[in-house]
Amino acid sequence: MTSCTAKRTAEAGASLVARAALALALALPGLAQADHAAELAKLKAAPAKDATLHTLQAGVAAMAEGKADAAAEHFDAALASIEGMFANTENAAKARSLWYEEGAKDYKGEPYERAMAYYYRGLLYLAQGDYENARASFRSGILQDAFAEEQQYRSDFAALMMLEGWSSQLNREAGMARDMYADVKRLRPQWTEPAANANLLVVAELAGSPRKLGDGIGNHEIVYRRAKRTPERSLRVEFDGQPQAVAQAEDLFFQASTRGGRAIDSVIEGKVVFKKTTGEVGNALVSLASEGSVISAAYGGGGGRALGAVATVGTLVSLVSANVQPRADVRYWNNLPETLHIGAVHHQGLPQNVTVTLFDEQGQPVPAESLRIQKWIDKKGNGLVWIKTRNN
Amino acid sequence: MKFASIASLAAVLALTGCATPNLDNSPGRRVVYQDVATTSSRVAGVGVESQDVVSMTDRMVRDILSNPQIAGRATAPRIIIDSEYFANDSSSRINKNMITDRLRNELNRAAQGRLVFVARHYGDMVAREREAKRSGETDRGTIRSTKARAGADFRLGGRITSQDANSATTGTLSRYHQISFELIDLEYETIAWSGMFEFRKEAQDDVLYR
Repeated sequence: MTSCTAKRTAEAGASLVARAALALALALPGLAQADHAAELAKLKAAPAKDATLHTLQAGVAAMAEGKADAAAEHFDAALASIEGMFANTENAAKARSLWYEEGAKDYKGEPYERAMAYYYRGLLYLAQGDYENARASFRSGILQDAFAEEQQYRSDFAALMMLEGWSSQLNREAGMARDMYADVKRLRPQWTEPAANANLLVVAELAGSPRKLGDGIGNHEIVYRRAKRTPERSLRVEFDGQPQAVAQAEDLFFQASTRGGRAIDSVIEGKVVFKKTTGEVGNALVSLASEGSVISAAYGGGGGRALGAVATVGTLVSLVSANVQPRADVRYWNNLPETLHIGAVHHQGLPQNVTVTLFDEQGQPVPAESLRIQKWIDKKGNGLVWIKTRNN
Repeated sequence: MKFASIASLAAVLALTGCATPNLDNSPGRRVVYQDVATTSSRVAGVGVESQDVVSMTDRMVRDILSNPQIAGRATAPRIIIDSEYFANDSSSRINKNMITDRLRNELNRAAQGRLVFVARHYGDMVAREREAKRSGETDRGTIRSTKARAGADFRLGGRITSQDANSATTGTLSRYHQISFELIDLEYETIAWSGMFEFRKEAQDDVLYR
């Protein structure tokens, strides 16, 4: 018990330090920008079950710094974990049990997060000029989106479809590109497909990641909320002073929040019912013993041992109830964007100067102090301009 | 009796209160070599894996060597086997060179001179060396000099395609792969040999991830 107390004291201290650091980071926006080195440090310190989450975050941070090779390594590692079918792991068994919360499982992300892992890997393949593997990545991302509960929200990730079509276009497979663009138009009727001579893709990621929050009894439900204090909703992109057409292709918050129920929700619901029932039974037994002892005393005693046993059982049942962990897994990939904006243009080589202006919901300009812009061009002269307004 | 009750209660409190549920204290595993031709019992996906690469290339090697039009000629034909015309049109990310390199290496080893392989993927390296020899930057070497580099008779073409199926309710994912190999006559534009390898994998993720 002593070591337990000491550990909790240490944990409380660490928690205070972490809260102070978080408060400082929120007060000074510049500090909130997680760079690649910081993400690598988090990855190193993370428990094994969270390794994939931190690998994904490190991948985005590396990409934001223009480290395409390092980012590709991170996403390959994360996708190896995501693609592995965990038929029956020890952590999965724990997360299903009453005594561990869902967050005990190895992180693989919700479908929108898995789809985004493929999205980033696909972009990096495009940057390398490997159009076939880029297409395979985007296709796999679309497949992850096929796990939505409601039919109308399955495979509606239009941005991945555009990018799959773009990969086929660059790979000189016009027929396949045309088919995919037709699918995009069914979801985004206003969208204009890239010109046949387009060779430069512009992808802009605006605002912050959808947040997962715990709700309900014991935080057993997941609810999604948009990122806070991220006013940018649209942008204007100029290459060497010339405006470029870039349109919103995806709302990631929509993708996250339209996933519907999960199979694990029934398991967690069962934990909640068990916790509630055992809690009520425990309380009833303790109350019965307590009231029984009062009545017993009034009638001259007797039955003390029996009432003591009832009280003990009641306490044990309450303890069991207290240790049931119904909390849902609210870990989330924190440096994802909220919206994706895509355009494809014809441009000789890469633009020297890329100017980005951000606008809020009312069309008023907003600051872009943490903007990252990366440019890549492959051996065939096809380029990628990647813009990200925030790193977390 | 009373003491036993208190002791058991204390034990329960200690067990439930001081548990460290998220600590994975399992020991690591030493590095062990695994057979590349068998499925891993620990990590497996529905994409193309090592055992698939080994199986498909082994089968294609046997098939090509048993084809008299390719391997039974009086003069050994020259063949290019690389990934230039071997397309990946599937949902699986893969380094195609893994397949074509193994196919070429195994064929070259097993053919024992019945086939000659043209190293077109090393074209730049050969061109630079030939230029250095002819410009006098280096001497002419000891083997021979040829007027031109080797022209090829056949070249590998092919395609990896896949078809996915999934069930949102059961979390089951199924992927069918079809991998076609063809040797193209580089003069007459005909297909001199074809081979096909196909497999379907199905897996169900844990309920936690569905």
